[in-house]
Amino acid sequence: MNDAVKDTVYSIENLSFSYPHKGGRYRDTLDEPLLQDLNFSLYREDFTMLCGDNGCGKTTLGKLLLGILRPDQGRVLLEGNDMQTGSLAGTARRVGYLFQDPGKQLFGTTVYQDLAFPLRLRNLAEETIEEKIENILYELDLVPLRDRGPYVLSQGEKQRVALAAILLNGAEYLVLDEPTTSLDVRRKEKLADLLARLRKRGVGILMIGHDQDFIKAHASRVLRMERGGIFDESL
Amino acid sequence: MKVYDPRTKLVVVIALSSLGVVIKDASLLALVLVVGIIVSHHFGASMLRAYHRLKKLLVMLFLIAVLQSLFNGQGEALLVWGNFTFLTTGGLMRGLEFLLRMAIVLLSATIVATADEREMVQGLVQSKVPYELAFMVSLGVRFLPMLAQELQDTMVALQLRGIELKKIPWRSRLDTYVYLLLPVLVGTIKKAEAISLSMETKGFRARHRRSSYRRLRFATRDVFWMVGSTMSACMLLVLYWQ
Ligand SMILES: Nc1ncnc2c1ncn2[C@@H]1O[C@H](COP(=O)(O)OP(=O)(O)OP(=O)(O)O)[C@@H](O)[C@H]1O
Ligand SMILES: [Mg+2]
Repeated sequence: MNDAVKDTVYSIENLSFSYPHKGGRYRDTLDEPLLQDLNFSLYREDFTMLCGDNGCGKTTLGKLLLGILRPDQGRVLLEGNDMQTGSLAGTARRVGYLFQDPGKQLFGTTVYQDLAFPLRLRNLAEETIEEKIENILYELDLVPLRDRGPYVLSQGEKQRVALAAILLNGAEYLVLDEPTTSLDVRRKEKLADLLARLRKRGVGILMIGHDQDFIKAHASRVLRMERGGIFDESL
Repeated sequence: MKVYDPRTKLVVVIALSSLGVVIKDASLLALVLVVGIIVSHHFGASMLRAYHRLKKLLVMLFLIAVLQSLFNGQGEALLVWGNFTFLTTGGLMRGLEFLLRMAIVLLSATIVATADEREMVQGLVQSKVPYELAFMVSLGVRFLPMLAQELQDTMVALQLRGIELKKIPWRSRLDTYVYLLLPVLVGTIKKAEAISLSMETKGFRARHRRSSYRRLRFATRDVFWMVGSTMSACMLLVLYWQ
């Protein structure tokens, strides 16, 4: 497909980022930035996979896309607007972000409460909330977990609850940080089905992951990160 | 940059902060602060980083100082409105003293922060503090920033749910705080469990006596600083009390 006809969601321009040094006498002296002068775009039509070695900065890049971290240099444009100007919550309603450690994004005392409280804060009617949640629970195979506490769930279960919460936000683009690592084979296929359905509805996806089979089967575009750059492997 | 024994840093910090706490005279406090800044710079503390990390606390301290200086009633009136005297010279001095004192205490903290944790434990142990206690102190010091980080992460995660923290109507505020505290609490308890488990597996307190590979030794400059800071602090206090 030609870039000109694709719908650009993100444009990344000359992006550089490094974490501030923690003090102390034993820090190693690699002073290169973690991400250096990255330039690329992400399109709504694509299921983009981002891969690269452990610690190359994939998670960091994901956080920059959401505005959780701010670039040292360069810009991240979401649909043409600089991320610096928007609020985190505003971005989150357009872009869903699944943490690599999904335990960090669960709040409620039960799965149902966890999914319901942001909707209640938006003053939706209780029936609407219930209907939305029942649907998403069914879609993600979570019905039996409805009244369990989110903190005692297994990693894969937490991941699916977090994903449900993201989808309830109604995001039009998803950034998923290694969503398949803790899933069993059957859940992985179900996730792939779900993502395919979302794509048909026009939701773009950037997925971070190492799973070569998953990439081969589902990705339409593959980006590889290495120290010093990002390379499009699908070209 | 010269490397100092952590015990030296402790002594210097104790000297500095006791001066800060005891003295109740703005100009003398200012002098201590200036000396403190020079000393902490010499010990390699980064005041810029401390400033960035403590920005919010500093704002709060400033507000407290303002509150302290208002309605004090001592000295000449500076700001009068109708029958009310808002600000007096005495009040202004009070606020100023408070700010200086806090600045000195925070400055001392930046000096402690330059010490390596491992060495700090070793320093305490060599000063006859029981190892368990010294270890707990270092654990506590490490835990605080972890807790702050956890809270920060949770706040980010909450906003990622599409919730504008600033725009929550006041009657829902309390609920939201509960949602904020639960993950932090769970996270902290889980971390504490993990730490205690890993301490067990590594044989913490399996033997009563511990030996250590590293021994700290005082260099001449350590002795100089320890004696020097203690003496000058004592001298200043004696002069101040006379
Ligand atoms: N909060 C932080 N402060 C300082 N350094 C960090 C922080 N988070 C990550 N790093 C460092 O930045 C580098 C990149 O981390 P990142 O989590 O982005 O890697 P990753 O590509 O997602 O790795 P993985 O495949 O293991 O998930 C690592 O070297 C990591 O130690
Ligand atoms: Mg990662």
